[in-house]
Amino acid sequence: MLVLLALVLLLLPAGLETDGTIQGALRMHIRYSLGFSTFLLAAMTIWVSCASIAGDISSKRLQMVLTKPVHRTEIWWGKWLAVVTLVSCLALICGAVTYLRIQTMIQTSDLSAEARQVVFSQQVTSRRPVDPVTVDLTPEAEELARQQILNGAIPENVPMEVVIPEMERFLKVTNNAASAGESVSWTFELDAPLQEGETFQLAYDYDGAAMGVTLVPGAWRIDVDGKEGVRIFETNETPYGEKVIPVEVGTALAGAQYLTLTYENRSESSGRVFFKPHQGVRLYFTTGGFLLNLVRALILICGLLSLLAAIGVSAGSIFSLPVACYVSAVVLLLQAFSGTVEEAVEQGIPPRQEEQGAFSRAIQQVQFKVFEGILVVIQPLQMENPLGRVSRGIEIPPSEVFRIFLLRFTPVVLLISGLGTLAFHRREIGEAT
Amino acid sequence: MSEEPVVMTHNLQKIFKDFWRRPRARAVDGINLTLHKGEVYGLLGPNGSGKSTTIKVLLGLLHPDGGEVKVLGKPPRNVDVKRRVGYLPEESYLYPYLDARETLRFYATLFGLQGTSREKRIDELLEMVGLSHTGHRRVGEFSKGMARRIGLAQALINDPDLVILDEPTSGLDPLGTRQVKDIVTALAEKGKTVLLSSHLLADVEDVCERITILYGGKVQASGPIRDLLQVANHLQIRLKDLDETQRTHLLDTLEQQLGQRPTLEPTRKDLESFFLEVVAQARRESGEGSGTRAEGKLAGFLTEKKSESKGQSLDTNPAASSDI
Repeated sequence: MLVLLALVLLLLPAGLETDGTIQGALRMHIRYSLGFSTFLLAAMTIWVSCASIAGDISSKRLQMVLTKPVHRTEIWWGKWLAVVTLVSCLALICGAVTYLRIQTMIQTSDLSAEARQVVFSQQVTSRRPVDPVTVDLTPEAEELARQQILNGAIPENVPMEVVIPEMERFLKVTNNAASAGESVSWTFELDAPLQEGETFQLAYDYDGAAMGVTLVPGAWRIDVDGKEGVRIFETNETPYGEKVIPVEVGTALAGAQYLTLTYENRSESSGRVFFKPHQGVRLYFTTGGFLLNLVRALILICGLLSLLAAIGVSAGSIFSLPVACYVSAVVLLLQAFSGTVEEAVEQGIPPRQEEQGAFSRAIQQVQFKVFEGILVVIQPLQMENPLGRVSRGIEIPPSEVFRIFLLRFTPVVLLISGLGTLAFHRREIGEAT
Repeated sequence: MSEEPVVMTHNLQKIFKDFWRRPRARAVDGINLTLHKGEVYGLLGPNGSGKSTTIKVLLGLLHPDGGEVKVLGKPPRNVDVKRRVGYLPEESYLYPYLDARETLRFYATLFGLQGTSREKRIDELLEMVGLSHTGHRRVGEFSKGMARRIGLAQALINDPDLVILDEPTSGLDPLGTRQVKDIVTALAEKGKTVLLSSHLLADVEDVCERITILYGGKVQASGPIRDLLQVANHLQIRLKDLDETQRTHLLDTLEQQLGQRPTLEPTRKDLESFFLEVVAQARRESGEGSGTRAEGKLAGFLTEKKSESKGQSLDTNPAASSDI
């Protein structure tokens, strides 16, 4: 496992195809190489934690230890702590290797000073994102649904609870798009007024365009407190991928806490420019160094591994080694595919089709309930991949790390360990087979 | 008032169940045992008779399904009880990547032993079991006999009041077997209680005062070994250095007095004694071999008179407290 880990860390990036840019290569190192190492560590955690008790029971070594004056609870926690210490050290080593490789790559690449500055300001950094103020789309979606039903575009027998979410999705897309000659706006509320001299980044992520691959002339306008066009940035670019405009706060912007950002599509053709409905337009404020951000991500990963270790040691306290490994691996896989499960639950049961039989409908409902149950079980394990944020230079706030540890990892580890120690306490060791 | 027994079971029951909690086998069925201080007690029986299950219940590894169990006056899973018990399982389940010294250090630490007193005990025990020259060899490389020896050493690391030995001589050569028996006898002389389970009846006969024979989870026979092995109406007269005339005269006299002519047979050594003599002779002539070296003498700390506990008390009875 350790050899595999070393191979993944050192050789995997060389085998992956990047977009040819230094940013792409760095993202590959952080997100995929370190990410895959994390997955290997998770698998290793499960194996080692299951074997720590179940393996000692099957090899009968635990008989020697349990006859010594040590409480079974102490043995359980000792095993868990040993696994957590081992995998956390390995995770930190993987993080250190990745960090050193990133630094070496940047130092040895023949980047211009400007390109290097872009790397350090947009990727090898820590930026706090500010998203636009969210708007409640429900009233607008209800109105739109009524119009669509009146127009006959949607059959009347389709329930409103199915139509409204679809309308909301549609509005989210159209509210983040600008047709030729039209504009689209977003409002931002900042935590604190802007200070003169500070800089922030205006980042926008195109979601494809209706006019194909072509240059689209446009402009970004910043309005503050009723004053329009405080800053204007003209663009002429292919509407694909994420772009970043650095903004220096001058006298006009200083003191503003509410900003309105408007994109003007200056194209004369009928093409429509789309921005991603989720996190398509954001402002970024630099908050700290990349290394600290990476450490915070690794701390979250260690927390997740400690949770997996608790599951593994508990499973080993209840089941034999192969069964314990199987159960823990299923939990890990469910965690890996938790997004898919969540999506399925969010979408709900599709409306009844005429050709659908009662039996298949019942099966569908059972499946849905099973998915809901799975989601409840794996919810504590669900966590946005912190490496994804680190690879994009997006801050993981210390408060978030603290909150996840305090409100999620700690109670869940305590709950699982409670069940595990109880099972271990009741377990008979050395039973005749 | 009589002294409290070191081990007491009353109507002990243990039933193994299947996955659905249905009874699968009645391993122990109404066993009553009472072991007193300073006694060497033998638990005999064929495979599957319930010996190891009984021992595991006494050690708190298995839960009894019925009856009563007391070890040193307390339930067997009590941690204070475990401080005073040494256990050698039927096979020495050791961590193969630790060497002999590390193995003993690990188990000593579980008993709270620290520093120089721990190292001194380890030295003495390695010397006692004849492994002082292999202290830094990984136990995974040990032969079965050497693993048994290190297993015995770990069972005595805490200077226990009760020593439970499951097949202690299994895998040992006759020399090792003799040494283990000497150690068991010496432990009993120092007031320690030894519960010994074995298939090797000669070993049990040599060291045990009382035995219980199990079959099918039930007690088939129990009592002092001398009483159990006594053959009614058979006597043995032992004489030495008789010449031919004296023998004939003795036989004639006995025939005249008893009405039956007795048979005379020369006294034979048992094979174990003969083997030990040969090895001892060879050792005198050619020096120590490369194997284990031990005299079967008890480690120093096991023979010391126990002092009053200075730190944490291991027992409410001051006489039984340890210097750990």
